[in-house]
Amino acid sequence: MANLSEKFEIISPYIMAFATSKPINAIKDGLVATMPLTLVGSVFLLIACAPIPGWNEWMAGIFGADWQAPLWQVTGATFDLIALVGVVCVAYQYAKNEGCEPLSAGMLGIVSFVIVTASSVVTKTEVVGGVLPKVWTGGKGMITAILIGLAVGYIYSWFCKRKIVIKLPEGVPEGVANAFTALIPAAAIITLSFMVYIGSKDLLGQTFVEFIYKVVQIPLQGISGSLFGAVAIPFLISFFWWFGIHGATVVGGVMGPILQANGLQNQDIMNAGGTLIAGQNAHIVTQQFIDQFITFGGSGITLGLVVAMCFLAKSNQMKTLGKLSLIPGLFNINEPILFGFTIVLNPIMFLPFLMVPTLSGIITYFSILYGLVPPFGAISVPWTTPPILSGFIIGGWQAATLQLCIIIMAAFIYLPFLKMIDKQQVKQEMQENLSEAE
Amino acid sequence: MNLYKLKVSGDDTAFIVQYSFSKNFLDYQDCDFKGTEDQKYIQFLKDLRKNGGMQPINIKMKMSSKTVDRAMTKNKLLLIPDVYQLIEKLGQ
Repeated sequence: MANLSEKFEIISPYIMAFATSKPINAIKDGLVATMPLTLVGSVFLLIACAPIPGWNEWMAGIFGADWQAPLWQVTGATFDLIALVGVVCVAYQYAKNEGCEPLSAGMLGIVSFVIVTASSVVTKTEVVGGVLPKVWTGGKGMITAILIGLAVGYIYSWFCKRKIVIKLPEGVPEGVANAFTALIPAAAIITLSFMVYIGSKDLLGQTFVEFIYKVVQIPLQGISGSLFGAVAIPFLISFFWWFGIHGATVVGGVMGPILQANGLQNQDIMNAGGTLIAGQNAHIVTQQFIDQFITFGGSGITLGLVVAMCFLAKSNQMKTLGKLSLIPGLFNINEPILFGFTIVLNPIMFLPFLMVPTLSGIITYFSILYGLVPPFGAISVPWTTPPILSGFIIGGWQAATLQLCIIIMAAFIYLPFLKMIDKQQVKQEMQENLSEAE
Repeated sequence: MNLYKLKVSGDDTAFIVQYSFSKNFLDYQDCDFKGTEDQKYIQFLKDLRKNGGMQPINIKMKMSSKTVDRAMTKNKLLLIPDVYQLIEKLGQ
């Protein structure tokens, strides 16, 4: 274990350098701004397709056959515009982190994205121009949005930091001065986007968004959505956490957009009237897969440990800590366990802390693959939503039952290790009682 | 024994470290350290040496350049003599 710690000390600066690099910070902080869209959109999506048998017929009986149409308006303006909003947020955040005026960078981000996106759709009979196809402004455009957001943020900041901008006298109002400041970077960014559009259309025969989707996003989604992704993501989250680095932040910063795109594509299939079939047309590993089956009850699914502590611990400290940690654990907060129990940097807890979420990843993957739990669409819940309830909202009773099974499994895996620590604690408490009596 | 939590904000040159401790793993109280950031850190090290348990120290990173929360063992932290080195270590 000491040897492993030493090896991790060697690689940890590189991991930290990557996790705190400018692009990762801009992606992480930028895309978190899209959360209100996905959460509020989820409420409307949930009303449109609640996982309750007979719901659709019941609602149609009250509001008419077309009752879902107004709800699709909302989901179409939230989930289907997530890449468009994402590009603004990433470019904005990059420029902000660089100390530049960020609003213009955000605006240039959206302009660049639209330039490199198709402006027409082909129907059965004609080509309709002057449109912005939502097919590319949602999940399918996610990776392009990130790439363009970073590129725009970088180029804009490059000009601003080198003061290659138009400066107006001090008396000019700030808004006007900022608009003029953005002129030169805007000219460069828009011209570059124009060249990218021409280049991809003439050389590749498709728009830049389509090209990136096929060449980058599909392979990334394939890897993340495979069994490898289902094992590697939970393993890495716990692995980093054990060594004292917030694993969910590091892994989520990189994987979040890809997993979100996986869920959005599943939703597109459902919206088009298709049925999701895992292993065929549906992505298995989505953001909900991680939030509701890997990190629920806290990273490492320590809620299972808390349950075991509440019912089976013998020492006063473990019993008290278990009771105190139960309510936070139900809301997926496990700080008292990570730092109080202790799990972080505790060699005894290394194995179960990595094993529980990894096993959960494998079980959840196969549960979805074999149809025991439905694949997830775009419906998401706040990360503090208690297990069982969160499972029910995103995947009906099947997902809720799976969460319950995983908590029980976690409790059984943690139990022998809990007993080891509990035994030491009982011994220590007895010694303290004896010395107090003397 | 106390469980400690640090919250670091600002940037690499102008930062603020807030120190808090808990006796019951849940409720944290602010440590009453006074002076410059370096002086407060020295007071924290003394307090940690005297009252700190074996639990790792939870470090919440809210800096503009460092945003990933960290944990450090008591022994490792006690080997970092000043707050500037701490900030540097938190990026590694």
